[in-house]
Amino acid sequence: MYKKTLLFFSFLLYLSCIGTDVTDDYVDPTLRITSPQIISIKVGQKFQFTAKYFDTSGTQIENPNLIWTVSPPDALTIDDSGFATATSDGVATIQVSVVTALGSTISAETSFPVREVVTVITETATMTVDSGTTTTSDINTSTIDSGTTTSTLTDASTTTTTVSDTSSTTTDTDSTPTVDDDVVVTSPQSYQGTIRTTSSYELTGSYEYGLNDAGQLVLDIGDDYVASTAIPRLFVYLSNNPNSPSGAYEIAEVTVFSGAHSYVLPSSIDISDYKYILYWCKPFIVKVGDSTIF
Amino acid sequence: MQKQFLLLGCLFFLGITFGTAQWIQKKGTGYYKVGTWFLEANQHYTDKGLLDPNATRGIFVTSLYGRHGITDKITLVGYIPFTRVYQNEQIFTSGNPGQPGEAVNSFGDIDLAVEVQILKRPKWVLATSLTLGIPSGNNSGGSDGSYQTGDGEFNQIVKVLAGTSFKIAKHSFYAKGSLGVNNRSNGYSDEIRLGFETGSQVFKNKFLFLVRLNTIQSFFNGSLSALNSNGSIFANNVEVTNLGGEINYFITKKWSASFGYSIPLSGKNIYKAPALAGGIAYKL
Repeated sequence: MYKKTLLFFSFLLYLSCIGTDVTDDYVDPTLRITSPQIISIKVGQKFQFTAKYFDTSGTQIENPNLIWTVSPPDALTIDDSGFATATSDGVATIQVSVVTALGSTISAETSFPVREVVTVITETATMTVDSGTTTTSDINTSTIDSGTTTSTLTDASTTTTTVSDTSSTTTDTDSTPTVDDDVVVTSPQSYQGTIRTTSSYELTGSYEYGLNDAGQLVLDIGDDYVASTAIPRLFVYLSNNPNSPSGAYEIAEVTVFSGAHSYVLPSSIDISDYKYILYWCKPFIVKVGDSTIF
Repeated sequence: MQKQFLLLGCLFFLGITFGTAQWIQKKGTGYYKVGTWFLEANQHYTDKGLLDPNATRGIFVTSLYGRHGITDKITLVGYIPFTRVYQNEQIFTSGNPGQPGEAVNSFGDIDLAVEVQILKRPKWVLATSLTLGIPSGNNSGGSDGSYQTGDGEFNQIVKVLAGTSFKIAKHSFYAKGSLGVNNRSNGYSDEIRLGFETGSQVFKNKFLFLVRLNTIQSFFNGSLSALNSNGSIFANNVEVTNLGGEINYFITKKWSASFGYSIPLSGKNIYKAPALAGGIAYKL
């Protein structure tokens, strides 16, 4: 009996040994063109393309070996650094690729017209994606002669994407087309969306993520924001991995649980650097909520 | 800033799950037990009573429990736990740097109680008790302060206990019930505690089988939350209903060994996991 009792106590002691938890936070490596989206470029003009590569954890890899190509080859010339020169009229497609650590090749591409004259597109597009997948768009295009000043090119374009699937978010994007040396580009100025809970804890609210009047990148949480006060040590991150904060930028520990509030982000962060907002409970090591920024 | 989480709730409910409920001792008699209990959880009940995952945490408590009759109507009770709290190593499939496992070992919160017999009849007994929860545990252990072995607050539990014996088909059983109020300090919500236990000795009184049903219900009158969490938010507003069973084997007339198992049926702000317990007891 005493031996059995000793064995039983030993078994209980064994149970209290530290084990291992495995969290599946793998994401496919991604390559993202981060330079402003070209709407139109004039023959003879030059443009610097940039791209960022994120590994299977969503962490940005510094100085990746990017390979830039263009199609058709006579539309543009592009060097190894992504510096391009428009050479002939037509639609050009820039593709950038990289070989991942696993040996596979991933790529991203962007297409735009190369014109003898500058083309300005004032675009208002609305795309609704739900179980029926309905897409509508209205695009107005006007053409101005080469050499026209940029002062008239101030129309804003708005793209609205609404996904009614419960696992998705609503995102509004505001961007302003600009002209620089006959290259018409559009850069996102802000994104609007909705934070959703991914747990049993209450967490919801709208937000706007973008530059304020002072030029600071700000995450503005809306009046409708509510978070459970029962969540221990809740943190908010900007991340490129929707499943974990590794490689993410830790904004702050959450101290506001209802109503509007803002987080001013450092100037080192670009608006296109992070794809997700992530709410993470540190002691539980689990995601509580998220939103896809773009 | 100290944060205290589900652990403490577990300490509370396991205390009532495996806490030995004895009759009032006669003068000079006693019951003393060296026990352990263990729990490991990778999910918990949220504040809404729903289940959410969490990094696996474990609690292993080795305790000394004793009760001694100083008169025929007054029994002193003491419970001294030594607690190990640990969290598993965390590995991420993405290749992200993981997080090493961690453990904290220290004394837990000591309970001291006095039980007073109010009435005694041939078939039943009525008693009351006052338990003082001494904050002797570590309420800020570990790298992030969340590996607590105590809640850092001084609480007082007043209980009324009743017990009876009866027979079914010539077989003897006993049943006990208790109703208590836990007055907690430092912003924690007060609680109601209800318990029921029944059991019977079998196989020539060599074995005692018993089942317990216990519940803690919160008054939700505490001020602690994530808004002002200088203390616990998960040791606060804890609710649980727990069902457990225990087998006691009487090695001799004085020595016995026990094995217990319990599961939470529902709860709020507390781990959801079965608990195992074992112990060796001596009856004076």
